[in-house]
Amino acid sequence: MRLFKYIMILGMVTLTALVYVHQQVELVKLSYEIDCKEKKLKEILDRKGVLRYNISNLESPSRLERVLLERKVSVFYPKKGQIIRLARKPSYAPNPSLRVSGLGERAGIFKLFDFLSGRPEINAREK
Amino acid sequence: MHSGTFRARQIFVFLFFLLSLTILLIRLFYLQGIKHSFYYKIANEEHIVSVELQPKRGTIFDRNMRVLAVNLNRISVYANPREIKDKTKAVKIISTVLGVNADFVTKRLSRNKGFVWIKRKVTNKEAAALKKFNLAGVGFIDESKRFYPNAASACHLIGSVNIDNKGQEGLEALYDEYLKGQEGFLVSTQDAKRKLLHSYREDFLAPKNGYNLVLTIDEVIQNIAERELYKMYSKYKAKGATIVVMDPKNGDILALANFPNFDLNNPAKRQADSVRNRAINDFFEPGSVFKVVTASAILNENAVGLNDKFDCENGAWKVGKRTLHDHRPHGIMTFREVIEMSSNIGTVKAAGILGSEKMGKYMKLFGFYERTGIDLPGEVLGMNRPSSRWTSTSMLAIPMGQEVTATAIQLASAISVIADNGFLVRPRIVKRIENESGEVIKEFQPQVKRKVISPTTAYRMRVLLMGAVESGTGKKAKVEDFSTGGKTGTAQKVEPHGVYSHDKFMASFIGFAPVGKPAIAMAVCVDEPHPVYFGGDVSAPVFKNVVNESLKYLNIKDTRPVVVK
Repeated sequence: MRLFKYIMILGMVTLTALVYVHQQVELVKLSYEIDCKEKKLKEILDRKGVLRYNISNLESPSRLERVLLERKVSVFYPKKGQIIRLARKPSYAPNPSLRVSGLGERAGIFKLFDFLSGRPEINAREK
Repeated sequence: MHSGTFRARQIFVFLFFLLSLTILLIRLFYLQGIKHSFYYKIANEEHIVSVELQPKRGTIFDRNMRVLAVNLNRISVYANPREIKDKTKAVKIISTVLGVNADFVTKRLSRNKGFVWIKRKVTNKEAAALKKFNLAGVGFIDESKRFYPNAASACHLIGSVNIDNKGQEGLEALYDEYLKGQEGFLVSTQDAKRKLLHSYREDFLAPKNGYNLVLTIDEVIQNIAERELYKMYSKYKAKGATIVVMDPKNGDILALANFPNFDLNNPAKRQADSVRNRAINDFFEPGSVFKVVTASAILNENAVGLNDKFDCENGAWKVGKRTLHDHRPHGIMTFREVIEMSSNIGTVKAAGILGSEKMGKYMKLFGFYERTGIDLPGEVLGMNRPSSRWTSTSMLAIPMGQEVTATAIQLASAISVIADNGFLVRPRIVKRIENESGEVIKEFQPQVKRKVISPTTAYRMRVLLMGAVESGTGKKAKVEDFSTGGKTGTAQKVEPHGVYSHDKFMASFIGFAPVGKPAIAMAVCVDEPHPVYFGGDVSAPVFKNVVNESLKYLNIKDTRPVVVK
């Protein structure tokens, strides 16, 4: 009985120690994982920076001009009468037909349920 | 007997272990108790490290958020000479891979130090090649390097940074406090392989990245201005050339370029002469472009009417000991024609009616006695005497742009007064300062300095200068699709011994377009062009081409004034 008690206490102490060690091991593992992910993130951000720089470089007016010159591409401004401006309706403009098809003005008590429809957004956009 | 021996052995073993345990306990007490602080310090030095976290230097954008300067990551190579065993081999590998002089590497590695730089900010390719050798005692540190996608474009404005990313010239220097950001730090535990254990962070302060600058420069107009100016600079083998393109309404500098220039990505190769920002660092006698100031003063004071006539003495007029010359002989001309044809004699005669005091007053109003206040470092102030200290012959020289000095930026500001209905605005380069997420930290509002002339005079001047382009000396500044106004200038440079040169000239043109509602004002100055040296031949075509392309790019429609003769 006494021996069992000792074994139990020893077991408990060992278990606690193991849990503690396991926790520390996990922390270290997690640290390595964070470190690895941070490195990856940094690499990706660096890559993004380089790509953005390359875009700026490629879009640089002086470079574009040089390339056009090398390829013997001549660009001219259009003369008067060569440009025809078409009146266009922006594609994001609210469609008036929406008013008829369920999203139109509501009256009386039904106005209270406007928040369920897309009505407030349309109103905001129209403003 | 046997049991006695066994008992004695038991006691011996027990005592042995007891003694060992006691020794261990004493040792433990010694290490953990008495020498605790000593070993704790050593352990901390080994395991706990403090790392400086470098901020990212802010980006410089043009007015349309196109990148002009940005920081990218680069790897720097260092060595711990004490850890390198075979130095000869290391020198050979490092010098071959990094392209560094072997003697230099040998010198570095022979130092008795724990840290020496080998090469900073190497290319990723070089770093990867060196890493493959896995040299003991050679390490790599991440740093960042400034890159400029447009290379030499706007180099005098943007300026440069040193190896430690500290601004040295131009906007990089002037706004260094905003651009550089604030360093952070991290105190953390590291493992045996010197890997940081983030879960055991003890202290952390994130670095604060630098703010971004948004300039008033337009990358496209800057390119147009540089291209056109370079054509003339190289064609006429000039010593230098400058162009300033400005929005007269708010003083925004849309383009500012100088030649010779240098590649911002390769500052080591630049020539001493190419570093100067001539637009703000060089002052010179402006010559006939200064007649814009004289004519504005005359018209604003109603000293002379546009149709008043002057005898231009057939090109030579002797006043006292001095003889004034026109570049072409003229007879009797109206004041309008005097300015259009850029007659020195006619201008001096008209200015005589105005008087020196008023002439001095308008020079001051136009800003020739002060710096423009442009937000660039090193703007110089010309050497202009107040009218009270003018000599008896000053009024024979100053009205036609001699005995006065001006910088290109001052000339651009002066022509902006005419273009902006008589108001002098402070030229500005930086529009706003933003943080990383685009929130505005500081905004620079357009600043009207003062009213110089009345809107009516400004309008009359615009019409007058349109005439100078359409039928006067500035014909080569005429643009097919836009009305333009401006004034040519061909100033003789002063030789070191104080005499006017006969073969060194400053060819200038200042102007604006469209005349009805000017959207851009410009000053073009070409220093010592050869063999052609007239402002109307050298600088006016630059103005013409820049106006034509810039206004089309800005989608500005031509507006012509209603001309009342």
